[in-house]
Amino acid sequence: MTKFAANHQLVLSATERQLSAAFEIACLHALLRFYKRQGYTLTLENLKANEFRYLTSPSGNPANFSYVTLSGQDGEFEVRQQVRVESHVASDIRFTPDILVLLKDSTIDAATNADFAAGKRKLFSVKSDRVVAAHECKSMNPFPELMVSFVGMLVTAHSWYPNGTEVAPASKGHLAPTLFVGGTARALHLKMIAAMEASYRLNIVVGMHSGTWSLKSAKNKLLWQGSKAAGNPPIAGAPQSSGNTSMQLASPAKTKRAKSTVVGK
Amino acid sequence: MILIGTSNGHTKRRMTPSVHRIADPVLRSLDPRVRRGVLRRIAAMERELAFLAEREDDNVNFIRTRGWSDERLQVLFVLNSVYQQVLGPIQAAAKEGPEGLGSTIPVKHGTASFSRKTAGSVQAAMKDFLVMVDTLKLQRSWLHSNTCGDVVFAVASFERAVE
Repeated sequence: MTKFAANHQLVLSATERQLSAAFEIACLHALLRFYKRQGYTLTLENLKANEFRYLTSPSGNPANFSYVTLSGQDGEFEVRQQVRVESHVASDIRFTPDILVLLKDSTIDAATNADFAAGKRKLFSVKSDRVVAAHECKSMNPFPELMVSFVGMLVTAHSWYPNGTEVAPASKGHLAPTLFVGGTARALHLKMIAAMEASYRLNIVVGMHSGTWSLKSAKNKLLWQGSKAAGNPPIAGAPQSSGNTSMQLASPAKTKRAKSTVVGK
Repeated sequence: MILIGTSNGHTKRRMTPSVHRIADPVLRSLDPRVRRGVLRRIAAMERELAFLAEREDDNVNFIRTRGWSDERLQVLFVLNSVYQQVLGPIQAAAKEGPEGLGSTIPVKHGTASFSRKTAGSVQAAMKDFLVMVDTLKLQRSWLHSNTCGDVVFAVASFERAVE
């Protein structure tokens, strides 16, 4: 142990914040690998000096940070981190999921609010009707209350839930809103997870630390169908919601894309 | 058994001197806040072990007949906790993302940077850690157990299988 500690001091001395960041980044990588397997084309956007600048807190201006765009048969989307969501349930309900899949070019409002930082800093948020899926990462052991509380995020962050026609279940497509959990679950909790996944349009992936990064256990997937209404035109010539066809585009869009609009800067 | 106070003065852990001697270099290397979390986890596992032993738990009794002392279990608790709280999360980020993310394109998260170089250091640490686990004749899967009860159950299942 002495030799191990001496040889790997740098790795062992990671701070709590770095460890939590590491888990979140790992979940993002897993999600992006998932999208790649589903046939979406990925483009890294807004890199700074060839680095992917990760937004670590909702206080940061999303326009200054990197994100990933996805192009698939059901349209174009953005994967962002730490963007605050303003709920359709009530505009005062705002919170920040770890990872968001948004419609491409969603407007991120930058409002001044006297109740936030005494009005000195902008309150950035995106409306929940732009959210395809909000994901949460927890580097801890799963427990029933944690799992049940994720239903709150499902209800509050997705205006399509429960009966919206914007999304449809599919065998290939977006990962439905997912709770990524580091620890493994006992048999009783695994049954609870199966029941929750059957009852709600969500996934709970446990055991990430032990190597479930393929997300193969995530059964609930969905396709975005609200493209026209939401101003997100589908890719020309792509089949609509077949659920089984390949979603790889014939000519993946590689062009540099504009940043999402941030209004009120 | 001795009681050792931690730096925040809130959590106390029971660790035999021999286990303490083994675990101390690794625990000392951890960031203070992370160390407190790891110590709290080890302490919780030790309390659960004491509870299970007092209740004359079948699995605890069985593994004791197979040579599992409290010291050996404590070493496992230390390794399990360091893995779960430190190496597990950081190893996860060392897995390369698509489009070169986290390798040729480093991910900058605040002051931390996750790149191919970081991934190499983490993988080397993980490799040495697992060598240590193997040398101690512990199963790697035991690192994934969440609680003392889970660890004891996993160890008992293994011992029953090899009996």
